[in-house]
Amino acid sequence: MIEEEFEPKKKKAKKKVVKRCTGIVKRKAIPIEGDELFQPLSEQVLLQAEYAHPTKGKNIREKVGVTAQVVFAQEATPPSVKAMHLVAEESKPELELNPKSSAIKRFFKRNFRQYAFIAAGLILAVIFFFFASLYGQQRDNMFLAMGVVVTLPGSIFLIWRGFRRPDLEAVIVGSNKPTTKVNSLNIYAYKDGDTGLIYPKKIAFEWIDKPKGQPQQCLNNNNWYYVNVYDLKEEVLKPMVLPDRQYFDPREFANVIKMPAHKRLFERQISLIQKVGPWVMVIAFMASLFGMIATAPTGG
Amino acid sequence: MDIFGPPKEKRTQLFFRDDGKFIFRKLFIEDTFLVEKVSSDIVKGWKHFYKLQFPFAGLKGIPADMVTLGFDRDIVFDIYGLVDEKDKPLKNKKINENDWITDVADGQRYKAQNKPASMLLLDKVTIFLGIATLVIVLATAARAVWS
Repeated sequence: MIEEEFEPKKKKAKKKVVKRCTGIVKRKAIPIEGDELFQPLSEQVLLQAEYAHPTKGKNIREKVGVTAQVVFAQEATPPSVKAMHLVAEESKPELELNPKSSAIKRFFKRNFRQYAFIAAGLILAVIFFFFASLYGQQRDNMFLAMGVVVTLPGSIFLIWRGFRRPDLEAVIVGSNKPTTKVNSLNIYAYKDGDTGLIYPKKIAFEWIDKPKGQPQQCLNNNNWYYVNVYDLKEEVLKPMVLPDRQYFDPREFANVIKMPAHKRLFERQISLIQKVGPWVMVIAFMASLFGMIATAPTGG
Repeated sequence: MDIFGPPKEKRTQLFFRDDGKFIFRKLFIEDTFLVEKVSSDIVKGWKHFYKLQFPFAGLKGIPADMVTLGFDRDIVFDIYGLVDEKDKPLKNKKINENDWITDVADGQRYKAQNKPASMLLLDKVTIFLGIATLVIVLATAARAVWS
């Protein structure tokens, strides 16, 4: 269900646009790389296209890169995600899509806690039937009676809890997890050629032949990595250095978030019933427990 | 973990420590801030900007997520200058003189005033004990009826 939510949508719209795109390609001459009309695609457009077409992202970027850039060079209008859809559809017959080779992967964190709740609920349901069958034979057994009363609502609650909407946690569109050996943690941003704005691109573990700086220990896996930042001006990776000046301490800022003194002013006043309630219920609980034991049938 | 409440929002922070180590860690998002908690008490907070989230594909043992950078000496770590300066706290003013910080504090103050009274821990204990007592009474009654 999660995957369906993020699948590329509206096939009908794509079909309409494909015809127009075909016309454009047939009508105009195709400039190749090196011609005056040739314009390379901006990084932002490529990323947007990859997001919209995850299974074709690599093809846009690698296999049909030239075709895509040619189409955009012919278009006088600024590139958009819609236009990238056209290019992807236009290039479809020429390509052999291989989802496994795609550079774009989506990682869904499985919420095993939900499965654990359902499994525990089912186990408890089985225990309930066990207790119920035994209690049918031994009606005077208090332990079995307790088991029946406790396990049935318990199993219902756990199964209900398991089928609640899970927290999605992470849905990531980015590059593949590294399969080769890595020695660096690199932080990338890119500058959009059209707008001149800078956007975060990715954080990735990669291999660098001659890393600079000092390696830092990653406390998640206790390995050591060189941490680099991509310099947009020089277009190289540089060792990351944290700023030395202290501006706003996160510990001080915690007080701003909490506002403890102010919250104390508006703290809810506890009534006498609320104060006494738990103790009354403890007495009631003990009394009911005593009553249960006292009225239990004796052996013989 | 709040069993009955909605799942709390979390995001991953790549946190650089002062001792030259770093860690990918999940932090709760509360009131647009990434907060570090010790037994439900907020001890550190960072402003969570959408613009400062980097896609991270993950590594063995480190789950994929949108990651923000953070360190111990500032509440915003913007290495590329992605966030507009007017959206960030001014760096030449103290924390109690900074308009950005006082705006945050004002927001939190109004929120505390408007927050409706929620169920207290004492109420929860009372309800739990009430249910337990009811279960015992029902079991005793069932035994009395069926035996």
